[in-house]
Amino acid sequence: MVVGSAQLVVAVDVGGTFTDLIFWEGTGLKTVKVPTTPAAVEEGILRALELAGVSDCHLLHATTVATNAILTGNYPRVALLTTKGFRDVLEIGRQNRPEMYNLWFKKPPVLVPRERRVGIRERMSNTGEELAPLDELAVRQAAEALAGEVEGFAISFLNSHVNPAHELRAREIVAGLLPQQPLTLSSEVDRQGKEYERTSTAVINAILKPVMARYLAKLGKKISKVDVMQSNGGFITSAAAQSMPAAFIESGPAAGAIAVKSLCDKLGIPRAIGFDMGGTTAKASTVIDGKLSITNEYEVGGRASMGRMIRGSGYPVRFAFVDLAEVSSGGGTIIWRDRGGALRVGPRSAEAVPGPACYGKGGKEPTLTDANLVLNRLPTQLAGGLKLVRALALETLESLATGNKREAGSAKGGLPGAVEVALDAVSLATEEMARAIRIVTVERGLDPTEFTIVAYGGAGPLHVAGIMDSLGISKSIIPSYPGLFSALGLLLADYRHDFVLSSTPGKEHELFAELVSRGLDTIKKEGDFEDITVTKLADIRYKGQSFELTVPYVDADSVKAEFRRLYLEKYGYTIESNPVEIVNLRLSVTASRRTGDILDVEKTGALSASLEAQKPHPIEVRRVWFESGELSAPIFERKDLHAGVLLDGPLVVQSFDATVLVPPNFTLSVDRMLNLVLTH
Amino acid sequence: MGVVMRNASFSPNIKDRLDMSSAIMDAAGQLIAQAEHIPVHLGSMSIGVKNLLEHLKVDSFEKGDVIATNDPYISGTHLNDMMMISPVFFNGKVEGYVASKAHYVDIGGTIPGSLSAGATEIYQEGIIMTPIHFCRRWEPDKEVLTILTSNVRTPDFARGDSLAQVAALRTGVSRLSELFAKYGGRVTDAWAQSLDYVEAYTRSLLSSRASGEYRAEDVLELEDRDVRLCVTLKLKRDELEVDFSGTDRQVDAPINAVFGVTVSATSYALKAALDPDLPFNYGFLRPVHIYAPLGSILNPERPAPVSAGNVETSQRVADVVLRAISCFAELPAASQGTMNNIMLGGKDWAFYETIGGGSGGRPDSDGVDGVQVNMTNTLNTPAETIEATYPLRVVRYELRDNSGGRGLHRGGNGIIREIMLLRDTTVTVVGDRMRHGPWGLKGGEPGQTSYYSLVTRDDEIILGSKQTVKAKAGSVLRIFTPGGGGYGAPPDT
Repeated sequence: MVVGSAQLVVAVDVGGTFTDLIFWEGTGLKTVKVPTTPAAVEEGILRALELAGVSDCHLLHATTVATNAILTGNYPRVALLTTKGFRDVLEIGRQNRPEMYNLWFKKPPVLVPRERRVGIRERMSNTGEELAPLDELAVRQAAEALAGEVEGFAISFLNSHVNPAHELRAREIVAGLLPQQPLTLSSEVDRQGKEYERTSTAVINAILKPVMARYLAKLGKKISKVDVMQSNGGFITSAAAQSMPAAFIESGPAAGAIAVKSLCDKLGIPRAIGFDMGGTTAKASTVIDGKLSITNEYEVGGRASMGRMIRGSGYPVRFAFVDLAEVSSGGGTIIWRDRGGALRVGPRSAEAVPGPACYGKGGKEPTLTDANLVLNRLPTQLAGGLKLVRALALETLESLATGNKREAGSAKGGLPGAVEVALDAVSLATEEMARAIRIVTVERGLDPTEFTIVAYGGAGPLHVAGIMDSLGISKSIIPSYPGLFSALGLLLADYRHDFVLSSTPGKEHELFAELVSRGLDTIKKEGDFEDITVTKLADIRYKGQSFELTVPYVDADSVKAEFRRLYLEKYGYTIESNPVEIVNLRLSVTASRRTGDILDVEKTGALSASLEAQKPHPIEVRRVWFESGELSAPIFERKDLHAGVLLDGPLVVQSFDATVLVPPNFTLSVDRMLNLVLTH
Repeated sequence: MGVVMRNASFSPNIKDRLDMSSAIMDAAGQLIAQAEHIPVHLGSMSIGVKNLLEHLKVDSFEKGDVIATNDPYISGTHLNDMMMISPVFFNGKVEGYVASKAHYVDIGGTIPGSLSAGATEIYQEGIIMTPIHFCRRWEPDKEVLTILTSNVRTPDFARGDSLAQVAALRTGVSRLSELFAKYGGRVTDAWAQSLDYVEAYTRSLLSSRASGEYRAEDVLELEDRDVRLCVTLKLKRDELEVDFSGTDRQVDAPINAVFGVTVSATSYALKAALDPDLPFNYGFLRPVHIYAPLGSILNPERPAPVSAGNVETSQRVADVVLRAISCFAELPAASQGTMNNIMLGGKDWAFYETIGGGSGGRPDSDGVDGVQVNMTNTLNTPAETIEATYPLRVVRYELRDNSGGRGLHRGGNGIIREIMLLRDTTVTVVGDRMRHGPWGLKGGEPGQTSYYSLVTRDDEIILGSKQTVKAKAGSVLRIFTPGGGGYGAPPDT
């Protein structure tokens, strides 16, 4: 059951700034961090392997190569064959504009320009009956005319999710003429109704096929086995990756969510929120009863506003994605005042250059990092030796102070201007991040107070206490290596394939049998697994509604009863007179890779010699600003905190990759795995 | 609230097109915050809820009361928009309200979809629900619900959508109650501050522009004549008067726009042209004074029909205000200026959609092709959804080549949409810009006008911009939407 068991297993997470490498070496985890090489991502990976002293390995891998190709517009030309009369569907999209009040709005550039979109005479009805036969001659002519200009074809016909016969025949014709051209059928990558979304998914897939093939070929020259993390939080092999590259759009964030899930499995946490805050954004995900929350639609290259994807700002891809809400709150997020005099945080970021003002690299606008420095919450020197200049941070924040003292009796009355601005900015950012968490909990009918937060990313541990306060959450966990947590997730993930089919009433049983056999065939090609799990789900709704709930499927009757129960729970009423219909059937097939005891500290020897808590000594005591005022707080090094330690706030814990803030009324303890546990 | 509404609603109009909005008001009915998914609802509830509270003249609300009305002369839009409000209590006192507004696909009246092109009085546009207790203790009044569902062609949608609105309000009340429990009276203090903040923001924006008077005119089209809209913007330092004096009298056709629509469209144009990030609540209306003569098409009196005021007239109000602003600020040329409302229906079904067109050419680039402009931003209904739900087949959905006005930067192209009717169908179109294409700016040419027709077995019948016809099964409705105006003189002239 072990895949590539003879080989060293190495995980690499290629992020926007850093390429993180992590692997298990007999006695402990080894890590390497190198700058990402955006122009040729594989070079950074090979460099990291070299530094780690690894020559060949089984590479587990999260990559942004698919997303980057779309974002930079640096992708190959493909052609689209579609139903005659509908060749502009890809360009019109859903006919909305991404920003309602911006007269200067732009739509994202169309991925296939009109001259490479060809309408073919053919038509299926919504019940799958042939209304007009496929014009085979037109398919042949289009293929021949465009063959020299493109590196692939997408084929998307109307109602092909009901009857894909014409798409299948068109593929036969094109493949017969042009055996080298990669082809993508909409009915294969996304067998659901709504022609724009299905066509867009097919086109994205067609575009990424040559991108992925080239990239994996380069890696394959040096590394004998490469598996790639998909947006759904599971791996597939590089061979399978080449036929479904649209699956890798959110590869990196999925890895972080998987790490949260694995930690929850280990610690027996039933409901957790993954909270990942880095330099530019913060992301929230959920794990419920050992399962990652999944969503089925995403816009690649799109922008988010207040945690929600702006419809029409990117290119829709329908695939299983780890359900993430993202807000623009990170260490580099800029603090400013608007015309009405209101203090604002984001969405602009100071990015890597010039960075926060306190970096002294020419940044003139204050950022959240500057605010935290002014509040004395950060060390004045970061890992790598970068010095943070508090005077620069103070100066920029001071410029935003209003001079208006707060009304008497307010806790902050009479504060130094820069400190007041910094405290307000941090609360604003906290509310924004709490909003992301509400989106993945409250908006999904879940109560956040029943959750434990797992905080990671460079800035997550610094802000998590404020978020606990805002949401009424009583416990959070800060794992070891919060800054490398996503890479760690790669070592722990399963293999996974997702399938979807439009349902036909009365045929659910047969259709599932078909899906299961397809799913098992697919995963068995990936490796010799024994522990394969098959999960059946159904998208179900009241007849007449178009928003479905996804419900575990046992049989057609019980799934409907479960739907009514969930519906009542979510919306507070049901409509007994309305019939219920099953829209789509979904299947996911997962298989585990033996991950050993990576998270088990007792077996890894990372646990200190004695379980007896030794009282740690602070390295210094500093005056730190909290919401309640300026307090003396001891500063600890994380490596000095042994299992069993119990400390009351206020205090600060520093380590090479993150700072943990523990306000008054919070308690910090250290568990047997050396996770920090924050409670209040 | 919006998420609950979307997920629990029934009609494709709400769940896919998001033709709805949610809002929070203070105890005086002043709009504090609104999440609108289409601009024509922007601020309309600031008029609607205030009117409703004045109309009710009661202060004896109970928890779980839901008051509903769709009377445009109160709610501020049109009969299809059902507005519901519910009080929020703290310490036994009403401290605010939550409100929900949603477009019902059919509200009765003479034609399926209710936006009757030929209405001469509001009574032909559907059932008027004067403000009424829709729920007590969150329990819908069965008799009221029955009156509603008995008067519309799609009773299941009306039932489902109204219950979804109640669910949305309930969510809003419970969230606000949590806030009051946590922060007490500081919630209403913060509301007052947010009104002051929006006022200060607006004043700062206005004072950054040159004081002066700026005039513009535009027209709406009736079958036999044009109806004139006039506006004068009087900008004096940090205050702005928007005066629609000179606008034509109300007409016996549904293009009258209740004052709420005039306010929404004016607010939209100001926000879009001056600062898309301008936060919006009742504080905006403190330095901005909007006036339209009573009895004009922009502030009509009962019983003038108003169903198209929300759609077509709101577009023209935005156009004329934007044109006046273009006297002192760089702006794009006119966008398609219509919503191309299509209503199809029969005995037991009704389908409604609006179709995008070209946006205006810009000082620095061409206009955008095939897109919703200004007062609407609703999604299209996918052809596959239409075919799976209605007796219709979409036969063509493409961009309309060369329909954008010529110019240094051309206007965006319109859309061609052709739908085959699989059963005998009542077809209603409500559009505009059929005689006068969307204007160009700085020498740019106007965009192509709209063109609607019905293609039968042996003929093509040209339709007017506002018309209802009975069509036989097998006919094809053909809609060509306008292109945007061009910007700057075309290079070859």
